[in-house]
Amino acid sequence: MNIVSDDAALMSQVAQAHSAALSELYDRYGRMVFSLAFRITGSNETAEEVTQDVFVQVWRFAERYDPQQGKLTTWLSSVTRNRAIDILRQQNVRPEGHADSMDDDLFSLKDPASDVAVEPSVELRLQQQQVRRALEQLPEEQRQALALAYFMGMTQQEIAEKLNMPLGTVKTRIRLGMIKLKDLLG
Amino acid sequence: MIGPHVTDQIPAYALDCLDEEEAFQVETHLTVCAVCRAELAAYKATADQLGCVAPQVEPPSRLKASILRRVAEPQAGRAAAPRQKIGAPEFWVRLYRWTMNTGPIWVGVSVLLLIALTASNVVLYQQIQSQKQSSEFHLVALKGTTNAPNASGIMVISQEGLAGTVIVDGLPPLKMAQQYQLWLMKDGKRVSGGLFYVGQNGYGILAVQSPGSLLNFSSFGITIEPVGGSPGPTGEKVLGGNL
Repeated sequence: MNIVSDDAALMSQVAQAHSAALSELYDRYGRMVFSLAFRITGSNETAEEVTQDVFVQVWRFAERYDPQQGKLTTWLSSVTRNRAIDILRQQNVRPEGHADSMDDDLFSLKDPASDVAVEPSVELRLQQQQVRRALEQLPEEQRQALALAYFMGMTQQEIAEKLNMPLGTVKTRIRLGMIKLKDLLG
Repeated sequence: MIGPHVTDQIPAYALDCLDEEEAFQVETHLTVCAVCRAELAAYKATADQLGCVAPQVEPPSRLKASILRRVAEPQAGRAAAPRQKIGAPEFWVRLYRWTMNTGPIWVGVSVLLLIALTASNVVLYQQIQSQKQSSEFHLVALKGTTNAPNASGIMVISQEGLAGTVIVDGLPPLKMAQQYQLWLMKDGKRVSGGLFYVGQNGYGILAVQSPGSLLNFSSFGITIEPVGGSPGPTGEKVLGGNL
């Protein structure tokens, strides 16, 4: 079977139960999904479980993917994040319980190290570059607040308590950060 | 009445970092405000892009094979996969894991609770049916389907059918990319009656949008759809009732 490069066409083949298409999909986005799951859960084992669940869900509901609604990468990110946070809640684990130092590279703003394989999807590489450039234009404190909300699943109140700052300040940072990102990412 | 827009809270809502009370206020407003729903869709698209720049970690080499093995299993197909694993309503998944983790003694307790809830729904339905005959309003009881067996609802329709309100309870909160959608049905044709969310407690309210008198329709249903709704039902049906 000839595997096409377009994501929409690939998902169409997955919807027709072509396992080779799912294999190609994993090759393109498996690391992205696993990396996001690991960032949220902090556990290799749980990240594996999340990644499995995400790709099985893609297999079962591929026909529901509508390219008009957005990119496949954003759809996968949404499903992965929801699943990872769901599992943590089922395990009664708070995401911030595994958080490392606040000096961590919360968002990966640096280009991938030379020992990390280049992403096989050109579209994903371009998207990563675009998002990195947009994040670099945010003040550090806004990036920090967004990362705690997105990767740690923390509420604004929880972020304020963790950073020991007023709730209003956190709300402003998140709102302004998201407004700026929306403008930059279109 | 729509009320003030929730523009300031939408970015945080898109990140799912509002507290429960604020989130419910936003969700209630979104059921009646297309402007804010469009705003949310834009911020949600922004938020979902953040996932691609998580620090990259190489997955274990065995992971791909285990995924392909799992989808090759008969029960992983689209016909009858275990609903507790993937795509099941969140409440059903939690109940399954809770009973498995807390031992057989709680299975019996869970069964008794479910029987009691089902019985109470039947009583409520019967009460509504008797109310229908004497009220100036038209009342339609909405019963939970197998996709949401503990859900219930009621549609209150004005005497002339020009206005209606749906109140639901026990529906599982949905993922960010989904909404509940009401359908008005007659002779096999379906018209959207509006979109809504429910709070963490599964309770929600919808002011019905109808092209004409609600009395022109014979039945009503609620399904799970993508945010922004669908031209026709595409997702699981969770509640239904006949006029």
